[in-house]
Amino acid sequence: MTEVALSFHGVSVAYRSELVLEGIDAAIPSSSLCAIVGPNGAGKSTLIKAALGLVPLAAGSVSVLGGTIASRRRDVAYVPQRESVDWEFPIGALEVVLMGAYGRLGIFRGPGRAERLQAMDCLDQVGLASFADRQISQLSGGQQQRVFLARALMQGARLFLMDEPFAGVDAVTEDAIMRVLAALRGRGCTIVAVHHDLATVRDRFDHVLLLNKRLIASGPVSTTFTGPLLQRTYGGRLALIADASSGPAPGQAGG
Amino acid sequence: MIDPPITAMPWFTADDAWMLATAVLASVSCGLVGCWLVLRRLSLLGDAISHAVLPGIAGAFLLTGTRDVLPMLLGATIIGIATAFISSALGRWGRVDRDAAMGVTFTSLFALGVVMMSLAARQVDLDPGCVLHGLLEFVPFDTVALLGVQVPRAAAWLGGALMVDVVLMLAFLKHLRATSFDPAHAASVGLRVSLVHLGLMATVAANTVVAFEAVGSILVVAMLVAPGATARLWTDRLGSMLWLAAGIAAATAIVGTLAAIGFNTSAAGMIATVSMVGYVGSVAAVAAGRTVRRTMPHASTPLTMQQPRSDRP
Amino acid sequence: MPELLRLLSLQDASTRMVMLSTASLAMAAALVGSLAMLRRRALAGDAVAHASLPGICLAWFVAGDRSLAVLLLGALVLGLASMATMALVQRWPKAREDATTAIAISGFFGLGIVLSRVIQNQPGGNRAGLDGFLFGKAATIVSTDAWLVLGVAVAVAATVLALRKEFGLLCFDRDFAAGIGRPVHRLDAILLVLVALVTVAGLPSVGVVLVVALLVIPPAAARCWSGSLRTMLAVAAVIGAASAVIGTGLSAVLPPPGGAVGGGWPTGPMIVLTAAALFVVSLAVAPERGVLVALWRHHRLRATVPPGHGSTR
Repeated sequence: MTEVALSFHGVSVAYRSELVLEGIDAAIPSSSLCAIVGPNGAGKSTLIKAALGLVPLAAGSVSVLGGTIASRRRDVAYVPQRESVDWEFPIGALEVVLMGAYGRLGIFRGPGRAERLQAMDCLDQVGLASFADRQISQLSGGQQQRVFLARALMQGARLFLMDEPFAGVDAVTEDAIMRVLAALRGRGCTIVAVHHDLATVRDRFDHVLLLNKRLIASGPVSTTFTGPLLQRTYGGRLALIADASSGPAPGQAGG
Repeated sequence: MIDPPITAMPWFTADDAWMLATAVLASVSCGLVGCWLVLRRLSLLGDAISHAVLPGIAGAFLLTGTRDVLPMLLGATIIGIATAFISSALGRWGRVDRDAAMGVTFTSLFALGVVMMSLAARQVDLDPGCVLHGLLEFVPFDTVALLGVQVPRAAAWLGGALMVDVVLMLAFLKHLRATSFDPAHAASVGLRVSLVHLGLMATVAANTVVAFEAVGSILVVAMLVAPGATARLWTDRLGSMLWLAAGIAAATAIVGTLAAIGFNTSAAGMIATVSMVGYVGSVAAVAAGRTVRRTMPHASTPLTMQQPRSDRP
Repeated sequence: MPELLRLLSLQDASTRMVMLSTASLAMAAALVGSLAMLRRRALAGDAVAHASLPGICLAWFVAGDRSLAVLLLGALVLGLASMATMALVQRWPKAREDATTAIAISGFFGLGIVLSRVIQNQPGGNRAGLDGFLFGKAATIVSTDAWLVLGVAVAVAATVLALRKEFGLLCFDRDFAAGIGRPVHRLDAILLVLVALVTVAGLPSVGVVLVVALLVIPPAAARCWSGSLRTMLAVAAVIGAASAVIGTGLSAVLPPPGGAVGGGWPTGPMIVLTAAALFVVSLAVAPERGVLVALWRHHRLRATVPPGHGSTR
């Protein structure tokens, strides 16, 4: 563990008068592929939003790439949950990717020719160059997810925070997305993703963060993604978990 | 009153022309702003705001004792923003669903406005009925000099509002688009999502007030929502939707006003009626077109994906 | 203050009757409104209310008899027609529900204004009767009409209470209700008809624009007090009745402001403001869900979370 890309120091988050995250202390190393794993309502999405400064912290602090999120915003790309997006919005794939440039454009400036070329290049990287003009609602779930990955690439970030990037995605697309993410890690980027499919954690990620309102464990997959710790994460309710952590049994947990 | 008649048609006078122009200006400026209400699923909030600005207007009457537009604009914009704020706060704190929270807010504020108007009526001539449906017919009688030409006051204000709307929309297109499509991502790149929302609500409230004297607070809702909702049925592109909405808004205003002159009835009411007919007709036409294309396999639509589209809750 | 005494002691038979009918109607509206709110149809009544204006006008044209019963029947017919139109338009997936509702509210009202202006232009077309429907005027209700309103209120309330369990299931989990063989479509339709009935019956006292408040505010207030359907219905009914009695009373006894609203305080707004006041009180002080309690809890929570508190690694 050399450098730290993202670290939480005693982070607590409250909705109304209920704590959804309590005293999270964790550090995610640079150039890693980190999965956040935990049951429904464990606060996985909230943890990502806390890192982005999108929810107020009741206690604690977050350090992003060695600074505050406000000072590092341009180095962070976020792929939100599908539910956050208005799929009926009249917008084409290329325009979605162009949104990745909005953060660095000045307040009244729109994207220009240079941004368009770059956006096409990003679409090409995820294999969707021929779909640039397609309405977002007319793309398949997997294609939509790849468009959002292209938007994240457009941001030119060093830290990628992804909320369920594989939701509603077929196996082929999942492989395609993983190839892009692995290439990003090769360039020194850090990827943190909320992940549901316990069966694939071992193959695809090198770091894991087990969460259930409190931090259960955080560390390399080989030492942290183990039966007993998963039992503690899921409260011992799912029998499949023991298999999922030891072998390639296809166990879907947490829905 | 503006004389002489500029046309040979005896039933279409210069006054009628100004009425028509005012209606088109009101309809287009409201229609453009309203596109964003439609896209953000806030049509009913537009309805709520247009009702709720009443106490702001009445308050301005009570304080100044005149019908000056500026104090009204200020009062109504404040109340408009308050409506959006109170509705969402009620949804969060009162655990009432969004529609009910808006219903509580706008009926209460509207009731307050009517009572305040009853008080103000001692000082200025005010008819609460006109507040609801406006009097487009009286617009040409109240003029101001603009560059040496006598122009109806309402038309001047609405022209200004339209210009401000277009400038704002062009300047903040990026913000509006990003925060409407994917607010979580927009916030993550540092766009101020709630500020954009607030700005939009203020613009809606201001437009409502400027248009309100001509078309009234209930009928302005049709001008806000119908052009955007109708245009959205016909196109999947944001740019064409905005252009189409402006065209639909202008056409509705022209048809409505002429029909009202012909039947000697309320122009604002007629414009709202025409808007509704246009919307329902468009739904029927688009649905019928889709059915025809389905039954004729050769003329089928561009490739649609098998993947089920996720619906937002 | 002889007037006040007379009113408070309910000596006047017609005042007593008007009070009784308005209060029981508000009670029935609160019951139906609670269910509509839980079913997320809080603003369905608003569309019915606005569509009732052209209904009243059409009834005025069609029927020679211009009694309240006939006018309200016209209102009911068009109210139901507006609901049916909205349901039809809603079948097209691109037609947004909120936009459709907003356009229906404004468009039907526009049609009403168009027709009422036509009536006004006719010889003998006295619009004073129609104007009363905009803001409500309980004082002008005669006792036969009051009996009619009372009858509708009792019938609606009885239906709600009889089908309480079915409606509860429908609101809580429609799919489950359908799964165990409940006629959910029919129940939905019955609920909408009940909404239309109370809305139309509320027009004479509260008016087109504000009658939806009777359906929305008391249930929203009751929601603060209780999570169970049974208690919520009871509390909503009490709050609705209290608003009607206090509001009608206030509008009758307050010295008239001498404004354009027929020289007296409009009944509708007074009832709505009373309900709004009861809502604000409920929101603030309710024991479980009140704002004061929530603020206190939030404060306590923040105080108990020390910085850097507990890692379980």
